[in-house]
Amino acid sequence: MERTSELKYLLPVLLVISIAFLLLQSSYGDRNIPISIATLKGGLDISDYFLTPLPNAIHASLFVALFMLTHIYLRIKLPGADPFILPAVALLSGIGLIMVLRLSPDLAISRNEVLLSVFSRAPDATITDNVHTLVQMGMRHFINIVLGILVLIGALNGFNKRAFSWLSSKKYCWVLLSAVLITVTLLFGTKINGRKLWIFGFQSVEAVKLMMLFFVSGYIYEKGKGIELYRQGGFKHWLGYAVPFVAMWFFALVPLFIQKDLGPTVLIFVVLLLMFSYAGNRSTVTMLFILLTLSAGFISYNIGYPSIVRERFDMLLDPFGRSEAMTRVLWAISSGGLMGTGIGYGQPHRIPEVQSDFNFTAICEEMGFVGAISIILGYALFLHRCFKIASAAENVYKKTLVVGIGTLTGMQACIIICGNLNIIPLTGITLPFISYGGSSLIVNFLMAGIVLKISGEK
Amino acid sequence: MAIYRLRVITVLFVVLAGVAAYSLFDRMILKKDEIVSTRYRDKKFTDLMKGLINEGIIKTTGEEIAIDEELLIAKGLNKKTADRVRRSIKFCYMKKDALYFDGQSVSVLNNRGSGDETVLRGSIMDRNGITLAKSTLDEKAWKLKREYTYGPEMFPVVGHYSAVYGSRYLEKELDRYLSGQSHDPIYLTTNDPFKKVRLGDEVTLTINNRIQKFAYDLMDGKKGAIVVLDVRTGEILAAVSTPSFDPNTKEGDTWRNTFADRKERLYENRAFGALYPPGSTFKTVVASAWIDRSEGKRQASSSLFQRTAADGESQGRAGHVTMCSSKKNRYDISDIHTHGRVDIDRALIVSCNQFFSEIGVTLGPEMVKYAEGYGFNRGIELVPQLKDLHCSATPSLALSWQEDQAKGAGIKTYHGKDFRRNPKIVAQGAIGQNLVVATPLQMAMVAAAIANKGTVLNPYLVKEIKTGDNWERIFSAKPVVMGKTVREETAERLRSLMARVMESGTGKNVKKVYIEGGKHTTSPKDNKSPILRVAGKTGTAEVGDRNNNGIIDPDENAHSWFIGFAPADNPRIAIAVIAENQGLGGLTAAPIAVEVMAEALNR
Repeated sequence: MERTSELKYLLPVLLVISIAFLLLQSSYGDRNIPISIATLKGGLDISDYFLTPLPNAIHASLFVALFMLTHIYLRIKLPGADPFILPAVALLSGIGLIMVLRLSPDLAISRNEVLLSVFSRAPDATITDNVHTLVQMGMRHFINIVLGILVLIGALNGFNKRAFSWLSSKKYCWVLLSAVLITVTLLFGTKINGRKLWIFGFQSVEAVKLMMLFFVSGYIYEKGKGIELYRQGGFKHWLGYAVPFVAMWFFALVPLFIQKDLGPTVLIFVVLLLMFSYAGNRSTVTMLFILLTLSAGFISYNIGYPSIVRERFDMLLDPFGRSEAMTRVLWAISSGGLMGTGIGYGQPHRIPEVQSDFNFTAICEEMGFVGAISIILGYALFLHRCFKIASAAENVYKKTLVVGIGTLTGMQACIIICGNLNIIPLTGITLPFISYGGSSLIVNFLMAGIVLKISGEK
Repeated sequence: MAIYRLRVITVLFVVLAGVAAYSLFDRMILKKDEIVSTRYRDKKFTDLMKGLINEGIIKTTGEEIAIDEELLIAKGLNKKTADRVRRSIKFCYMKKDALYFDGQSVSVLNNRGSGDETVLRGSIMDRNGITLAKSTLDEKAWKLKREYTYGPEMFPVVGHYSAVYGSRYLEKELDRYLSGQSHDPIYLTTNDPFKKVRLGDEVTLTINNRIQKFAYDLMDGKKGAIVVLDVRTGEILAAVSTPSFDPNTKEGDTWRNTFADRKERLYENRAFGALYPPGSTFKTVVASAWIDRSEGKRQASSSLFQRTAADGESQGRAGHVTMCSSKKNRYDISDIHTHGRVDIDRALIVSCNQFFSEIGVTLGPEMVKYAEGYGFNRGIELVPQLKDLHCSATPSLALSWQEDQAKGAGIKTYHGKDFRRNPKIVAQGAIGQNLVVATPLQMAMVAAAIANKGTVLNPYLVKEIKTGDNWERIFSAKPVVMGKTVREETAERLRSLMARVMESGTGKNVKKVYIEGGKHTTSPKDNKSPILRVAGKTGTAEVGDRNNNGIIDPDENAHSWFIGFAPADNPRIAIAVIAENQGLGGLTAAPIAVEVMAEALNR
């Protein structure tokens, strides 16, 4: 029954995505993308990646096939799994794929122009030549989605009862592991865009987020009744009560100083606070933490350390005077209007880092108010199902984990969407399932797999 | 408990989603236009440059603006910023011995709206099809250029169009047409099939370039304005404002200084926009009111009592007689010459201040009513038939004043009771001073209305608008009647009076227009050529206290005015000339006007 209704929702979504692929392909022809461009390293045939009708035809059919196969796999293996998760994931990742495929030729061409003009004036300038990466971005994103689906299927298989109990028993292991991972990344990681965040092509912060969820769920599960036990245990248990909050500060502040970015800090802080609150934390303590954080932000703004806080708040208050990027984002969002300019007919490549941080802006510009609202609704659906599954799940560990996953996804989307809309200070985190970035995409699919698995095991 | 907590989290997310959805609606639909048109200004960098100037790191050495490199390095800016400072030094400029940084140079405009479409702005042509402004597209470099065929003489009408300094006058007012936004796009075929070039509309003005240039040259550096109107249609044949600005100069410091100069006002269109006291030329309006009133009485009484025509005539003419003495009269009005006993005819011919001050006070509000008939106290649309354009001349004011624009208030008239309470102000108004101010265009309209038998035509500037491919005519102007001010008989009598002004009155010493071989000229080869009768009225407007403190600057010469039309018997063109601070109207303005009229009649 569940699988039939899943098919009923999945098919229209896949149809819409397929039509969008068609529009994308027609826009390539309409926009007159050059067949090949002259880069610093010689000619580059863009047509190999985009122009021939084949790639998008392959992308579209493969995309549909992938999700249909996942659906069939679920039908066989896990017929009781939630019917809404897969359509929501299909909608979000489909729009994300189309956006990346649409952006990558434009980004490559405009980047190439910048490079050529810079190097013609100053031949020894230090500027990254990433034209080839940008050209291949669409392809890579697609491969990441395929990997993500494989990981999702792997999660459906792997996360059985024993795995969950193992996960929950090794809870401190996750803290250690994430600490090790961060250290290793800092020592031996690859440097991209001046920041050391990658190890073996994987962004370690994304993995740390997931480990953090495992740890917190395990911690709460430990005594069966969650935090409430420590809370009611009196003064004796103050250490036990304090552990998660210490962990919260650890997880939250590490990325601030490693990544020099507010996004993960705020995200981890809020998600953990919400999870503790869900597990039965005192409301006064939650409020205290919120107040503390706000005052910390206020002090940080006034003393100007870390400098990013003041920078971002200035940007929020006066986008047209302080930040060219934010101004460009607002221009892009506003030019969308109700229905948008149409896929491929806007100019989102004028925004810096549009493929990762400002993906939502590109969607706003090209798909309009309607498209943006449908993205928000997609996340709302995912979140709603997570909470439904959590309230139906059998034990506290699973409950907390699913709530954690839902909150993490929802909060991440909220922070970046609100940041894009200049409601809160802008922070550089990815839009789950949509933004370009392999690690984040795969981790998101893994989380979706865990949610599906938990929902199926009743 | 957990369910309750989950609900709290859900509510939080619902609130967040609601806020996001509302802001989306706000940014994408409600404030769309506002956001899209906002410029980005790099305040951080502007502040940095200002700081560098204040600290003396950027300084002037004689004519050059230079950076003190040592201090700049000592400041410890990073390399990128320091390079940017070095590059931006060309945007610093001197003004009044102080150094400034042009913040405009670091602002970014959202040129997203135009997309890949290039707009080839339409040309502007004069009435004979001579191009005044046109855009050219260099297809190889894909660069647009706006060219102005004529120099400063056309600037007050055509204006300029610039990405940095904005646009002015017709380039601004007609932008919707010149950039082809008024209808479905028409594209130009170019070598590159994927680049779209949108054609703007071609605008034909009523201006005659020959008259305009002739009049501009005649002004010869004097400050002032000339407006030439076609009497029968209301077309504006010339609208000169001097001194003027040449839009062909390279954009840069000259532009910036010109548009910032509030004293010289090279950028101003004095013909439509500047308000001057009209001086004695306003007496034509007062005289028309006086004569028309008595004409009205005569007509009424002749129909009632069947008086003879001769009786009526004598009554209409008799009217008021005043003794013009060398002393100030009761309204503090004096004359340079003593005119003795004058009636209305004589008073207009010799321009007697004391006579007009008295009939002005007698007429009171009626004078304002007649002035409003001529177009005072209301804005004059220069393209009256296109309702979507608001290209209007500054309202001329007759015994009224414009409230502060910032407060959004309009024109306040001097109320009826005040006329009796303060007759001195009314008396000064009647001779075109104090609360009466007019644009040159308005005074030309007065002359044109008298020449046109009392019918006031709305002056207009745009003759026709065609699509860029010359296929379709979008707009074609027709004369628009604003109303009728005076009776035909009154206009006829004023016309003959104004002709007598030029023959035996204040304008008798002005050079004459001769007809020689079908051409009109003021310097004939043969002195026995027939003379063309010209009608007009001179004016010498005292420049009151500019600062509104009751002190009249003795160094400031009076404005020299002239309004008139030609030929006097069958008027075709009307003119208004003002030369700022050039003294008597008969000496400076009138000769210029006569020469321009002779040239204009030759078309």
